[in-house]
Amino acid sequence: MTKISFTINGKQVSTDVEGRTLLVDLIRDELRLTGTHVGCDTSQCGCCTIELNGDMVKSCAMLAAQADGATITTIEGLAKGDVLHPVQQAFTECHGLQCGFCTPGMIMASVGILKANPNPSDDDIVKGLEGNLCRCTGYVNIIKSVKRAAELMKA
Amino acid sequence: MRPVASGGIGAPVARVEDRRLVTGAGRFVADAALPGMLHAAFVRSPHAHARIIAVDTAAARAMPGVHAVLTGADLLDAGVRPLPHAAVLRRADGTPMRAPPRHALAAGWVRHAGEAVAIVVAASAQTAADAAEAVAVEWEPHDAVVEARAALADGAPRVNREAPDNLLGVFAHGDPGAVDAAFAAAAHVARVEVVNNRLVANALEPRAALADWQDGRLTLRVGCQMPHLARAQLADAVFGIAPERVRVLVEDIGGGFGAKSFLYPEYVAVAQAARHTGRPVRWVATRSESFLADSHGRDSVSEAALALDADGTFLAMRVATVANVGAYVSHLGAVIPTLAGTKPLAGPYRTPLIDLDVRVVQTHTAPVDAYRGAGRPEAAYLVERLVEAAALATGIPALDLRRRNFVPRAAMPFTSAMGEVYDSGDFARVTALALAAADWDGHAGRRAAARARGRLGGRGLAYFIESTGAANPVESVRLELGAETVTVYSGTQNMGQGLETAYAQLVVEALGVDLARVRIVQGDTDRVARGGGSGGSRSLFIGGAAIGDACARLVALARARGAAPAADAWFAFARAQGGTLSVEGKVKVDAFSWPNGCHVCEVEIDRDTGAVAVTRFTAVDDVGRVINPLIVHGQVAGAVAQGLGQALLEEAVYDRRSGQLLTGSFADYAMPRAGIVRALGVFLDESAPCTTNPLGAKGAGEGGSIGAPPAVAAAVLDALAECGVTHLDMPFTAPKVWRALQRART
Ligand code: FES
Ligand code: FES
Repeated sequence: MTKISFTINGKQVSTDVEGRTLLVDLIRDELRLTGTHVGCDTSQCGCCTIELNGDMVKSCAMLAAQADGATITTIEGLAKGDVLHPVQQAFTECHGLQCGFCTPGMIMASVGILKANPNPSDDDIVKGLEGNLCRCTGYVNIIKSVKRAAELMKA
Repeated sequence: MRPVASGGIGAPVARVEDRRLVTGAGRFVADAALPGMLHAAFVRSPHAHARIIAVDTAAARAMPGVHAVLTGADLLDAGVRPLPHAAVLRRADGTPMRAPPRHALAAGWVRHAGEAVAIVVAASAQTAADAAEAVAVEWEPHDAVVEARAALADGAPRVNREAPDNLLGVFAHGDPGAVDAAFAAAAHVARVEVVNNRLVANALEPRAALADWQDGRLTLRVGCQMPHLARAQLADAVFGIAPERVRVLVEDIGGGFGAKSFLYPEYVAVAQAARHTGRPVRWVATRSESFLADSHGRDSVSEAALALDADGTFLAMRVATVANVGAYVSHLGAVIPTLAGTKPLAGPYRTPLIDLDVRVVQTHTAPVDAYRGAGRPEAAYLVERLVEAAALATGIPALDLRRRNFVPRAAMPFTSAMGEVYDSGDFARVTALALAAADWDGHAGRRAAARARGRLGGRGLAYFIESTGAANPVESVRLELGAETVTVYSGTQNMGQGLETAYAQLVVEALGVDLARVRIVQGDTDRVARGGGSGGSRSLFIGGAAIGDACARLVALARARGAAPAADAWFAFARAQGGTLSVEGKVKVDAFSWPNGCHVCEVEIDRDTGAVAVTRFTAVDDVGRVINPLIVHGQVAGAVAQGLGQALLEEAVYDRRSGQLLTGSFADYAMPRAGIVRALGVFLDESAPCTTNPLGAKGAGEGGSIGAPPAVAAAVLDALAECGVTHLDMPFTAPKVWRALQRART
């Protein structure tokens, strides 16, 4: 067991973790932040994407112990009270989700894309979403949502 | 045009279910936790075909944190019976089909790699997984067969003792003599042999179950498209208890696509583990487990021929299909390639005669069951490949052949050669719309531009028609008008397709209330009395029609009490009546609905790598009356992407010798990613509404996965024609196309 402390969605957390515990399992099972999903066991689906120290990372591909000292934002930490984050807002407006299982990861990845590039082209978005799978939407409305979010963020 | 009521039918309102899903507040099975909950892991067969000599669970049981290990023998001892399936077929000798019993945990034999052999229940998921590794199974491996045609060969390894030839059952339709005569008199005959590749549905949410068995009552939380069917199967078939003693609870489902329709072995084992331990037990599949143990889709080979007269009129079609149903018969496994999938086999054409012969074969592979389209993609792919082949055989362009043979709108209702009644449709109009939307004639210029860049351009068109409604025509709902809200209780199931919103819109349309005042309750067999679940695109036009009926009854009830409320006045009316008013709505929609559409695809192929890029895709779909265009556009786009996945990328491959699944992860099984389709045009034509249900709606949601594969195939073969390639099977992966180009070159 290793003792770790980190900040998640603005809250300070200290806990003991087994060496082999994945960060995503800590977030879901212990902290009960179940908006971060697990869609695969080979780090390919991106359902588990979170923001860690400013970068978008797949939390299934990290050990919990590696998060010691980190600052983390998950999907639950994106909205400001009742006000959705522009990316969340855009996904809703553009029908960028169907079942919603990939959505937390897609939204986090999109936040990352827009952070790096406030005016992404379709190509930029497609590239930026390379690590995220969606089985429902065919991605067209997700790409639309990211563009719409870019507009909302400028306004 | 009728004005669209605010939020009513035809309004592209944003979905009411989105808010919880974009904030991380969705409730999927894996998100649920109960006090005292234990975690399950499965021991799975490493062999495709083997006898179990012994299972030693002692070491696993002795591990700290392990609460129980159950094997197939333990389940048999506890009286747990095999999973049910629809036994609809007969064998060639007329005797009823007999599949091997599908036990929740294998008893005696395993018949596919990944079949569950034991369940381990422990304090944590990690401990359960560790303990599963410690279960020692002694195996006697046997040879396996994974391909349907190979399984029919003499001396093939045997899957099913009840059917030593591995032929589960046969299905035939038509008059072979009349078809033979038509072929004998034909001016042209076109032939094809096509493989419909095996797929994995791969909903992004892996299957999961959380069972709690308290005071003799089972509560199973599961992502299931048909909760009442699951309850009935668990109660009647598997555990032999009264249905009241089972509650199936379904919250958010992370995609279903057919593969989450039915009961699975793991659900039964988890339920029994909860009964055995007296504690709630949760299991969440890994993606690897999903690949091995989810039901797969498609997997058939068809030989077909089309007879034409000198003008290109279709005279008769002959189809012989061999369908792989897998090692066990999953619920509708035997129905899909036969009764269900062959309904639209005549396509949109007047072809007067069809001779059909389907052989349903068992192999040592995961069971095959419903996957988006379920039999109908196979039918459309076959028919449209045949039409393309007929164009080559006759020298008449395929588009002309289609137009010449379409069932004209004036001929509706029309009885097809499969004996099915198409109530509505205007295939020529939809085709014309698609040609215009796709800039069909502008392709020559784009093709020339592609050539200038050293790439091969191709263009293809496909027309499809599908039967929707499943075989379950009845749906009922309870509608409660309260002091603040209207609540609808429906036994159909939202799984991401937007039913909560579309249903609420129907209530808005009928009662004039605000969308925000409508609640849709689904997925709880305690709160919803009955229902057929969601599958086969049945929910909107059957479940929705039941909502329409319930609203009409509420209006009649109000009228009987001397009131005619509208909008918010409904709630004042409810308060005046003392609180809550409840009505039942019920419909029986006897006829299948027949959505159809024309899909046009353009591709560019890189000569050096064989990579195929879809450069334009146009879908014009007739889904009848549209309740929410935003949602239907989304359904078409998503289904097209899955169709492109089948056509370009996806294939579940088993090793022929070992029977191992070679495509068992997202690293090996290629899923469509962002950019799979760059220029997608989706159009809905509402000019031929369905005449057999009150809403005028036809099933929506499966069309894209039916229309896209033949459209892509036509485009790819069009691009490769100049290189002398005349046939390829899906998926059109870069290596496959490259090899075809090399072969054609030599
Ligand atoms: S769970 Fe699939 S990438 Fe993390
Ligand atoms: S919305 Fe279902 S997987 Fe993306």
